[in-house]
Amino acid sequence: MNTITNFIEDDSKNDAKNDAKTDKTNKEEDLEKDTNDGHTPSKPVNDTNFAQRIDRMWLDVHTKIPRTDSGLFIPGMPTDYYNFEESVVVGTKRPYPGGDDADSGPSKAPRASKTQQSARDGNHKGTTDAFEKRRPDLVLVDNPAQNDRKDGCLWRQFAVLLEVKRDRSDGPNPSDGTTLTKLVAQLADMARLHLAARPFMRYSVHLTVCGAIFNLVIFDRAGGVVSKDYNIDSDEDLDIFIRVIRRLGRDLDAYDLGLDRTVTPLHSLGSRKQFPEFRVTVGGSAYITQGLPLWQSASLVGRGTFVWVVALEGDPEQSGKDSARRFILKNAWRACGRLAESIVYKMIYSPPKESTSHLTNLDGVAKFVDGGDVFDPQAPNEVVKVSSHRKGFGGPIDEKDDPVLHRLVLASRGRNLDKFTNFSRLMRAAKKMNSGTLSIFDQYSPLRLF
Amino acid sequence: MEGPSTPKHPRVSSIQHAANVGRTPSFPTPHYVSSTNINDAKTNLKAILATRVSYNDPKIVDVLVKPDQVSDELVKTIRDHILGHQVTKDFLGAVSGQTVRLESEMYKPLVRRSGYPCSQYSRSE
Repeated sequence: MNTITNFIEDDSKNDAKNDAKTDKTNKEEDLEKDTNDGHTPSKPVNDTNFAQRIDRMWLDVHTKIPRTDSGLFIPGMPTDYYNFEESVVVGTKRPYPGGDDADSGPSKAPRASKTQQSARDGNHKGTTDAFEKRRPDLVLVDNPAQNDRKDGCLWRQFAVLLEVKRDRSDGPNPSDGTTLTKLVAQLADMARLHLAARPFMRYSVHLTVCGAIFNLVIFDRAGGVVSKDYNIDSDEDLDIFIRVIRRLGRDLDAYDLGLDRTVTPLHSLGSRKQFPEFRVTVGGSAYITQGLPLWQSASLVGRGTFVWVVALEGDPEQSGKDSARRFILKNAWRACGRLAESIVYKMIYSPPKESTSHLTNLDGVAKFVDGGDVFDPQAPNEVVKVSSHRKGFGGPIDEKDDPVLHRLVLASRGRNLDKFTNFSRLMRAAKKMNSGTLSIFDQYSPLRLF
Repeated sequence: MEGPSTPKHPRVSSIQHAANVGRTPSFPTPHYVSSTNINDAKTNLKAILATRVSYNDPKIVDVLVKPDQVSDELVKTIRDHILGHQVTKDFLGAVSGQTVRLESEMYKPLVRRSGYPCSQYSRSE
């Protein structure tokens, strides 16, 4: 792989477009260095879109357990609390998530130690078990800046995940064409973690190399698509393999590899110290995410909800205050057949005239600011759906099962229960919650709606 | 005075943990192990994905990766380099014949006990 990388770096003829991109990237790097004192997180540079930076490298992580940022809890993924583990080499990875039988599955041997084995079988020591089975073999990571490099890596730095098996029979395509293979189940489990750790992703890209067979696989909120088998024994497919590796590592930007095209990362996606902030447009306003998400879904198929604290862009200048106003941003895929959450909020805040006399107490209900379905910048009249990025490949998606990307901004922010220091305040908050629930129930009880 | 219009709910005799009602807590809790149980995850994923994965797709590589945009000259140079080295050729032959040795056959894996400080870490295990 290094050989390929060296050749790629030496190649000056390929793709003038990429040269232009590289020039731009270098300039952006210079700008970032200028604004970075080496210790504090870099400040966002105006007009810089870090999604279009292409600076990646392949890492062999099969002996290390990738982590997530300290303070960000994702079930199935260790946090970065204990750095001492980073340099520790772990044993041979067991390739499948709890394979049904030991004989037909893994092409890599399970750990020999009985102590270790028991820790991998789902008993009370199971956290280690879960983590060790959930690590890819190789990953294509967005490079952190030179002064930001440490041992180990974070899930959110991954652009592409690669899984290696010795036997071609372990490949993702089933022999009968329909049955879910063990490898696909394993990849899907890692894809859900990848989508939870790397925010605003529409899909997760994976490569598999099983013997001489390689495949490209993507997972999104509606399922997955597995490519046909390519055999690197043949000259033609070896060429395709070389082209794919080149494209993934050097040509395709973060948007091409699954990042939502309607958001702009304001920091390097590979930064170790700085959890990237994103510029997100909702309605006519732009918001900047602040720090880690408040909550993120860890499931693969479904809404894939992310909840953030966001700041209104340009707000301090307009309002004359020191800091921008903070809001809550909810980013989720909604089932297209269901009522959009933004519409529900609009209904709540637009009560029927005849009921306004005694049902206007919405004190305990989150205040809706803006929201709706997200429109595709490449096709402005179409909302972003899973089918938007599956044009030209994959099986047809049922119209009723084609999730739509939806966002809303709320003005009210709750507080964690453990943050309350005064009992009376806690009770007042509980009363507000209760009053809000009653108000909504009264306004939109089934008797009133129908 | 008229009572509340909401129906009465049965009294809560025990507090359900977030994990028991299907929610994901935002911090590590005792349910941590169960929520990270890989067998549960596998079962759920199998059930959910059974009808949601398309196999043997002939177009995804062309549409998503666009390999044709890499110059033929570069591909030829890399291929010649790969096939021009005996070590690489031997490796590709082993991959093709599925005779690549497993890691566990190459050396005794170093064993780690997760969460223990390095001072308690022993390679002899």
